[in-house]
Formats: sequence, structure tokens, C-alpha cells
Amino acid sequence: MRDNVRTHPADFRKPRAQALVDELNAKYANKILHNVGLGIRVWDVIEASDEIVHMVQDGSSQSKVTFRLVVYRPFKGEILTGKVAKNDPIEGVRVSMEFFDDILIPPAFMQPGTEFDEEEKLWVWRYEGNDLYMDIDEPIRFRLEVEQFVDVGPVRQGDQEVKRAAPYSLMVSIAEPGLGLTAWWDG
Amino acid sequence: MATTIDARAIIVLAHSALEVSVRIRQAMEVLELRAAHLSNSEVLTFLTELQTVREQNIPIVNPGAPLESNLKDLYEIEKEVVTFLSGTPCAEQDEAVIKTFMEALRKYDLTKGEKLMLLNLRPKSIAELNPMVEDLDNRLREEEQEALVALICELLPYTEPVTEEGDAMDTA
Repeated sequence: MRDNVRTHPADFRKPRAQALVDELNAKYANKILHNVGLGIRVWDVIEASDEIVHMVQDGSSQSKVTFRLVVYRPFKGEILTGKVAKNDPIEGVRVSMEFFDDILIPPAFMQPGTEFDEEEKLWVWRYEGNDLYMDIDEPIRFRLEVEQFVDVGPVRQGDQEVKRAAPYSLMVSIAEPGLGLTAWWDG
Repeated sequence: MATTIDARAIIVLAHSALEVSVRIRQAMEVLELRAAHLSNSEVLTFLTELQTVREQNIPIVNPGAPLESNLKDLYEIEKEVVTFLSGTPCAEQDEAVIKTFMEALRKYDLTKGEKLMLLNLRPKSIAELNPMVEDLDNRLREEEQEALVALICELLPYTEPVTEEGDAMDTA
């Protein structure tokens, strides 16, 4: 990625390379980049142009930087793991991956024979006489089916109000042998 | 600020490949998506090494100074990614292990994405392997599937974290 980075005089006591990396990280770490993914942190800086010192009050300088960014973006069809975070009777099961949790298993993508148990308030897969509940915090394996990017402007992950669309969200499936709670397939 | 940047940007991806179109936003330009895949292990190693360096540096450079406040998001995501990955098979993998594993996989006709999943997820049974390899039953006979699972268990050592009920799953 190439960007213009503004470094402030306070940063000048740092080695310049570190100041650039810090500035880039401040901008991209934990941010959803539209159509790109979730920024994690800078991998390295490939090239940085000479600084242009601004003749403005704060005396900051600016340089063009080419760098590599580590980004989280699973590919379509990828199998991933996480933990069951929430069971909702309408929307399905929410999954968390610690650093990212806009992940949803809609009812249509659950194992056939799964329904919402009103008493337990959990989705349950009724399979061959067994009641397999999707308990909270259970490790779960799932496949990425649909990803959605919504351009809401630069958004720090986790900042958006509940009602606003998540800038990056995943719809995932557990409707195959080997997927769902890992406990279902162990041993 | 008008952008006339016409540079090459490369994005390296954690977890998987990335398809991205070139996008110009403010002064930022994404030049190339899908530069390289990083395995979970490479990401975990990268982040933990950085954390170690940072912990060692701070007392020397600026004793008692709080961590940069504008890097709060960075520290948060690094911590969360490290926590997450530490509970997965990559926590017991290193460069040597990965190299050996990838070489052993060469005799199987698997895509890059499939190999990455096998490495990251370390399926220990055919049931676990199944969703990771498209059309598995047509591509590998059952003996070959068993052999692949055995290979994975052998070359990727992993002891699963103890579950709440207290039964640790030992790797064969």
C-alpha cells in the first residue's frame, strides 16, 4: 500500500523508520479497509520518499510510503475455527474469533435437522437421536460462504453502533460432515 | 488531496489469499492484493517477536513512559490475534516443521489453499479432513486419506488445549 504519512515533530526523536511504521499502524491496525479486509499491522516498509517538511504550524513532515500490510481476509470456502458467541432465534449463531466477530451462521447454513430450542435458548442439531446443542464458548469449525463489505467510511473495528451495518462481515456454514462444534467430530 | 500515486503496493495476508481491486481513497492506494499468503504460524511468530522486542525496548528508550496512545488499536489487535492463534495448532509449529510438512505434501495433488488449511487446522481424522479438501472421495482413496491424516498427525505435533471437563486430547 502506498500512503502519505504525516509525522509530527514529537516523533522526530524516534528513528524515522519507526515513526513511519507507528504512523501507519495507528492508521491501519484494527481497521476494516473496504474491499481489503481487517488490517492487523505493518509487515515492512519497502520504500519511503524523502520527507517534505510542511511549512505549517506544527512543522510536521510528509512522505510517500510503500509498505506491506498484514491483513485478515479469509478466502471463500476456507475452513476456519472460532467459538460460539451467541444464539439468536431469528438470525442464527454468532461466532467469535477473538480478534474478529462479525461472523454469523444463519439457520439456512446449519446442519439439516437443526432447530432453536426455546427452553435452552440454544440452537440444537437433532441427529440420530442425539440432541447436539450449540453451547456458548464451544470451539466450532465453519466454512466461509459469503463475505460482505459495506462502505461506511473509515471505521475502527468495534466502534460502530449496533444498528449500523458492519463494514466487514462473514456468513458461514456448518452444514457438512466435519463442521460444527469440534466436539461433535472428536474421537 | 488529489492522488496521482501510481505505485505498487503489496498486501500480505494473514490466513489466506486476498482478492482486491486497486482502490484510491484519500491519499491511500492499494497497489496489489494477494501478494503472499502467510500461514498462521508465520503471523504468530511475527507478532510475538515484535511484542518481545517492544517489551525489551521500552525501558531503554523511555523508562516509565506509557505505551503510545495512538497505537492502542494496534496493541489490542495484536494481543487478540496472538491469543487466538496460541490456541490453535500453529502454536507448536516453526519454520522447520512447516518446511518438512510442505515437502511431504508435494506428492499429493492439493491446491495452495488446501495445504494452508491442513497446516493451520491440522485435521486429525478423515471427518475433519473432509471439508478442507474439495471432492475428497474422488481425489483420494480411503487408504490414501488415512495416510494423509497419519502424515499430518506425525509431522505436525500438537497437543490440544485442555477442555473445561478436564479431558485433554492427546495427539496420536
